[in-house]
Amino acid sequence: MMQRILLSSQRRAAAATASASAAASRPSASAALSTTRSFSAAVVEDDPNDGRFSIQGTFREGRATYLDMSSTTPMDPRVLDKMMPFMIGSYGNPHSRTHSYGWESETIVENAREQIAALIGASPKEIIFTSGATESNNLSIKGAAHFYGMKGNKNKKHVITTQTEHKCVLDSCRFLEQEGYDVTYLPVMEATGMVCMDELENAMRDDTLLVSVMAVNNEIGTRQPVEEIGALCRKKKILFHTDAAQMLGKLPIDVNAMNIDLMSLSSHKIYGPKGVGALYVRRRPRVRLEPLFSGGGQERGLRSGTLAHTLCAGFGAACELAQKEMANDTAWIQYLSDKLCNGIEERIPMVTRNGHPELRHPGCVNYSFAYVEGESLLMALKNVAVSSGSACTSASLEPSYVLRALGVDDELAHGSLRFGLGRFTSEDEVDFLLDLLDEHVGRLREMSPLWEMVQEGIDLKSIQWSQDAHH
Amino acid sequence: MNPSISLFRSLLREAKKVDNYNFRLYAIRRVKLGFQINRNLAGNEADLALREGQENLDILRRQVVLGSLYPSAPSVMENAV
Repeated sequence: MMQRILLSSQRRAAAATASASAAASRPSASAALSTTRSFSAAVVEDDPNDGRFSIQGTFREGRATYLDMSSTTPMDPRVLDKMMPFMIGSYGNPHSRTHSYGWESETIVENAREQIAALIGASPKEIIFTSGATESNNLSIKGAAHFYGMKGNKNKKHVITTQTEHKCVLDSCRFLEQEGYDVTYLPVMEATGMVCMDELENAMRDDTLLVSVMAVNNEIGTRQPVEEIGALCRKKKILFHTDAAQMLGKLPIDVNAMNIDLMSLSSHKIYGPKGVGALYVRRRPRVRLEPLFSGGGQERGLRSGTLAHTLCAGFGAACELAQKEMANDTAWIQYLSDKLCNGIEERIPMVTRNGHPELRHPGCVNYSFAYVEGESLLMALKNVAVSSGSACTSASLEPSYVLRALGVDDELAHGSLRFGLGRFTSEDEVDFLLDLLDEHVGRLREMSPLWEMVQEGIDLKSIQWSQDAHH
Repeated sequence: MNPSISLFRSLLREAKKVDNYNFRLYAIRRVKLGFQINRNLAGNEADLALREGQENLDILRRQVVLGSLYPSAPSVMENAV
């Protein structure tokens, strides 16, 4: 008898259709069919693989379910609805002063500015629109360094950041190092990824001009103690910049309570359009920046260029929506996150959660699966769109620098996955993911001789590999 | 008929017509949640909530049309086996 092992949900569906068709068509044969259905694996059809596992046979038809909300989010239909009129009839340049097309577009931009400012507790005059959080990060780090630093004759040449920052922050700092600035890359605490306040204070010097620490990490979800860092920086009269792209609209932000001087915001992480972001620049006390773009002096001279008022409107609408929906979204994402984490930890042995257990954004879940190779797990999860903790999906085989900064072993880092849950994630998708993980992590481990040794109780660290014996 | 019941039925009917799997499930859940949260409102607040609900109904109708004009590929979750 040919048999094929199916997922629990597929089994249920197969059993339902099999029993329904059997009952309808052949009452005489139903007795024979019912005995086979008592096996735990449902008999579906003649199996071309003769019972051997084939990864091709386990994929469902259809577009993968999206569980990568940390990398980007779908645009909320309500946001799209707000943007539509501006893409059809209201197309004026917001900087045109002489006619109603311009005035109309300017009103749209200013409304968006207010909506964004309301979400973070700032004044609309402190919001600058940019092309995204990457530009905002570049503008704040390079802009502040150039204004307050060596070029600006204030002789401040030290910048402090952490090892788990986003690539654009690290790269901007490396650019500053090439110009002659000193940069301290603070290490983070093992397993949680939190910044140590004492180390931060010790790293501060008399010529420190800027501290840049991201509010919520995009890979592990850890929420840094932004209020404490802000208070410390204010005391020492050092600028505090934070990349709040992952925190905006998910956790409450108050730039005054948190003593933030510069903050990067991104639209496409909160169900808004891609291609727009913002930079919050404090006005009291005034923070000065040297602009990256030369031009017509738009956005208070800090960011020249015509504003895409449709994108700005979308960003503003997304912020307003996030403010209204924050309680609902938080409850839903927390529920899904607890379900996912408890499900993984109960059903799959030897998994590690990366990041702080409480101080985090629940929607960003990062797990390392021991004795499983990350790339093969990703291939098995073709029906789910997730991101891996390492960069092995890109050309280089290096494990993620964030996981390495957390002290995770290279091999464990390669076996890491990041799941992003959001407003539009359904409960069924989480169940589906859990079933798939259960099945494929189990299957991959069955094939692993290291796993067999671990099951027998052998301590892998005590093994004398024959290669080492030659040394 | 009670205006809030008719609004609820209209919203739910439109929500079920949404083309994209994730948006459809969200719309259905959000409509039910919205009415559940606001069930004890009365007077002025209730009128405001009803007006907001009517605006959301208009938005939903437009987005259902857009979604049907530019349909998303069917999700893996929509295929049972």
